[in-house]
Amino acid sequence: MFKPVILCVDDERMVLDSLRMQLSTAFGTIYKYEAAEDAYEALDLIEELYHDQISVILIISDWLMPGIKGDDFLIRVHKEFPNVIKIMLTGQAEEVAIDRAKEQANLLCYLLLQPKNNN
Amino acid sequence: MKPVIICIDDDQTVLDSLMRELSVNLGDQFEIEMAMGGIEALELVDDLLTEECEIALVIADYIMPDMKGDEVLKRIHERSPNTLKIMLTGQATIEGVSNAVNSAQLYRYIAKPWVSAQLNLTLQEALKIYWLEHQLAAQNTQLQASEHRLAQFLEAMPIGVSVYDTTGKTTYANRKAKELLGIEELPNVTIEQFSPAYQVYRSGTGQLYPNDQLPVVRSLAGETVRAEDLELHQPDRIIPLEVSTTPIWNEMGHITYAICTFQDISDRQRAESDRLRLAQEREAKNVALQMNLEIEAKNQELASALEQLQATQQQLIDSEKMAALGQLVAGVAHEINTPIAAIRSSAGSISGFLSSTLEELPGLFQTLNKKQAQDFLALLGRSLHQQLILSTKEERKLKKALRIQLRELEFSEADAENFADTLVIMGIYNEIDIFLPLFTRPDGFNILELAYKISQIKRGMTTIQTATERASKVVFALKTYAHCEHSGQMTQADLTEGIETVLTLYQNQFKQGVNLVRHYAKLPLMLCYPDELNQVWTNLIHNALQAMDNRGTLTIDMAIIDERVQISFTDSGKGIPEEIKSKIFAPFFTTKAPGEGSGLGLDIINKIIEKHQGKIEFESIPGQTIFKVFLPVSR
Repeated sequence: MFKPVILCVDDERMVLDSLRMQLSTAFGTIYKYEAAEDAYEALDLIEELYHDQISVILIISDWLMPGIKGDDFLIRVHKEFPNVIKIMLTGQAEEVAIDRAKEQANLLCYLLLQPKNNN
Repeated sequence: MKPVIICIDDDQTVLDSLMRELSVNLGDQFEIEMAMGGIEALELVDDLLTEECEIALVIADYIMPDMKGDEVLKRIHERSPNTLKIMLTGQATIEGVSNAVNSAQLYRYIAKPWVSAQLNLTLQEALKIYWLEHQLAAQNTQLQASEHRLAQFLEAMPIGVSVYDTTGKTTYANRKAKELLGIEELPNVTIEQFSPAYQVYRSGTGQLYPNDQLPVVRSLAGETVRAEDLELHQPDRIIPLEVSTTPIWNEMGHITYAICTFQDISDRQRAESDRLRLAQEREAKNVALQMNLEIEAKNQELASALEQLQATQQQLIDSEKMAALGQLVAGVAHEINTPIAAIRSSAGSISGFLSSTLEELPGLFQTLNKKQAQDFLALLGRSLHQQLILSTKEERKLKKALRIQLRELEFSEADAENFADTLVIMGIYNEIDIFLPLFTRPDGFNILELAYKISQIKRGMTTIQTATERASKVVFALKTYAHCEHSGQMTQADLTEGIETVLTLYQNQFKQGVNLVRHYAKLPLMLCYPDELNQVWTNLIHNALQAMDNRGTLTIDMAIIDERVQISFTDSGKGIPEEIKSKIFAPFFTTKAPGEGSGLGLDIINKIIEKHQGKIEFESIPGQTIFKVFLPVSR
C-alpha cells in the first residue's frame, strides 16, 4: 500500500522547497511529498501516480504560473479526480479566478502567500 | 585849367573893347584869348585843342579880310562842336548868318555896335548853356557809370533777373537768366508763346505751364507772385525754379514792366529731400529700435515660457514614468514578497532543525564507533557539498532509480521509498554503498534523518541567500527605475544592465504566459542618460506585452551595425493597424480609452532618442511587430 501523496505545484523553486520542508516537518513520513514546477508537469505526475495506483489526496497550487493558471489546473484536476482536496496558494490571484476555482473545482480555501506563518 | 573864350576880329579896337568887357565879367572863370583873323584863330584853336583845353565860347566878326566869320565858325565847329559860337556883325548878310546857323550851329549874333548890357546878357546866357551842357555831360557820364555798375551787379548775381514789357517781350535778362533759360540772345516772343519758347513746365506734370498762370503774366496784370512749381526743361536736365515776379508802375500808376527773379532750386530740393529722407530714416530707426525693444521683451517672455514648458515636460516625463511603475507595483510587490516568504519559512525550518539536531546529535555519536562516526561525517560531507539544484522531474527520476537500487539491496518497500526520498533531497543520488552499514542499523533511518536535518539547515541557508538576492535585485531595479536624474549630465552606462533592470520589474508580467528570448551582444559603454533610456525600454516592453495581452513571445535583439547600436523589441501581438502607423509618435495620440493612458509614451521616448542623436523605427504586421532603436556609438 502506497502512501498517499501531497502535491505542491509552484513555478518558484524557493516556494516549493519551503512548502515541502514545512509539510514534511509537520506530518513526517505519513505522506509522500511530491513537487511539480508547472501545471503540465503536475497533470502528468497525477496521471502517472494514478497508473501506479497511488492517490493524491491534497494539492496545494500557486495561481500565477506559466502555461495554465492555477484555477484552470485545479478545475481540470477536479474533472478527473473530484476527491482531491485542493488549496490555492498565491500572492496574486484575481477574485474571478478564485471564485471559478471555488465553484468548479471545489476549492477548499486559498492561502495568501505572505511571509507566511506556519498554518 | 580854365576854359577859354576866343575873340576873333580884325579890328584891334574891337578886340580890346571885347577883352575889357569880358575880363571884367568873366575873367575869373575863363581865359580870354584874342585872334586877329580867321587863320590865327584856327591856329589858336588847334593849339588849344592839342593842349586839351576846353573852348567854351568863340565870338567872331563877320567881315574879315582872310576869312569870313561864318567860314571860321564852321571850321571851329568841325574841330570843337561843343563850343558856343556867337557872331558879331555890322554888316552881316542874311546869307552869311544863315550859313553860320546851318553849318556852325551859331548860337547868337550880336549887331555892331553892341550895347554892353545886351552883350553881357547874351554872353551870360551862352555861358549858362555852356555850364549846363557841361554839367549834363558830367551827369550823363556819372549816370552811365552808375548804370554800368548796376548792370555789372545784375550780371554777377547768381539769380536770374529778367524784365518784361507789357507785351511780354523780354527787355532784359542777366547772364544767369540767360544761362538758366538756355539762351544767348533775347528771343522775340510774345506772351502767348512764353511757355513753349522757354520750355517752362509745371513741376512733376510734364505739361507746359498754363499761360494765364505764369507769374510774369500775372504780374503784368498787377499781382506780386511767388511760385515754386515751375521747371525749365533743358535738353540734358530739368531745372526746378523758385520764381518771384513784381509789376513796375510808372508815376501815373500804369504797369510798365514786370521784373522777374528766378533761381535754380535743385540744390534746395535735393537738400529738402535729403532732410526728409534723413528724418524718415531717423523715424524708421526709432521705430526699429522700438520694435527691437518689444521683440526683446517678447523674447524674454518666450524664454521664460520655454523654461516653464521644459520643466512641465520634465514633470510629464516623470509622471509617465511613475504611471508606468504604478501599473507594475502589484507584480513587483509580489516579486519581493515571494523571496521574503521563502526566507521566513526557511528561517523557521532552520530554527526547528537546529534545536532538534543539537538535542539528538550528541546522543547519536555516543552510539557510534569510530568507523561509523567517520561514515556519518562522510555522509554529512557529501550532502553539504552538493550544490546542484535539480528540477522536480529529475529528482523524481533519481528517487525512482535509487528506490529500485535499495530494493535490490533488500530494503523493504517502505524503507526503500523513505531512504530514497530523503537521500535525493539531501543531494545524494548514488554510491551509497559506503553508508550501508549505517543505514542497515536498526536506527538507520533515524541516523539518516539527523543527517537530513543538518543538510536541510544548509539548504535553508542557501534558500535564504538566493531569496535575499532575488529580493535585492527587484529592489535595486525599483530604485534604479524610480531614480530621477535631472542634472542633465550624460554618464557612461551599460545598456544591457538597463534592459535587465526593466525586465526584472516586468518578470511578474512575463510569468503570465510570455516567452522571453534574448539575443544579446556585447555592447560598449555608452555615453547617455541611463534613466531616460530605461524609460524607453520600459515603454517598448510595456507596449509589447499589452499588444500580446501578456501571452506570446517577446524577443530582444542587439547588434552593432555601422557604428550604431541597434536594439530591437519584437512581439507576437496583434500589430499596429495601417491607418494609425503614421500617428503613433504624435503627442497625446492613444488608442486606449480615456483615463487609461496619456498617449504621451511614444512621443516622449521619441524625444529621448532624439536627445541621444538616435533614431527609432518600426515595422508591423499582425503577429509580428518590431521596434528598432538605433543609438550612435559614442567615442
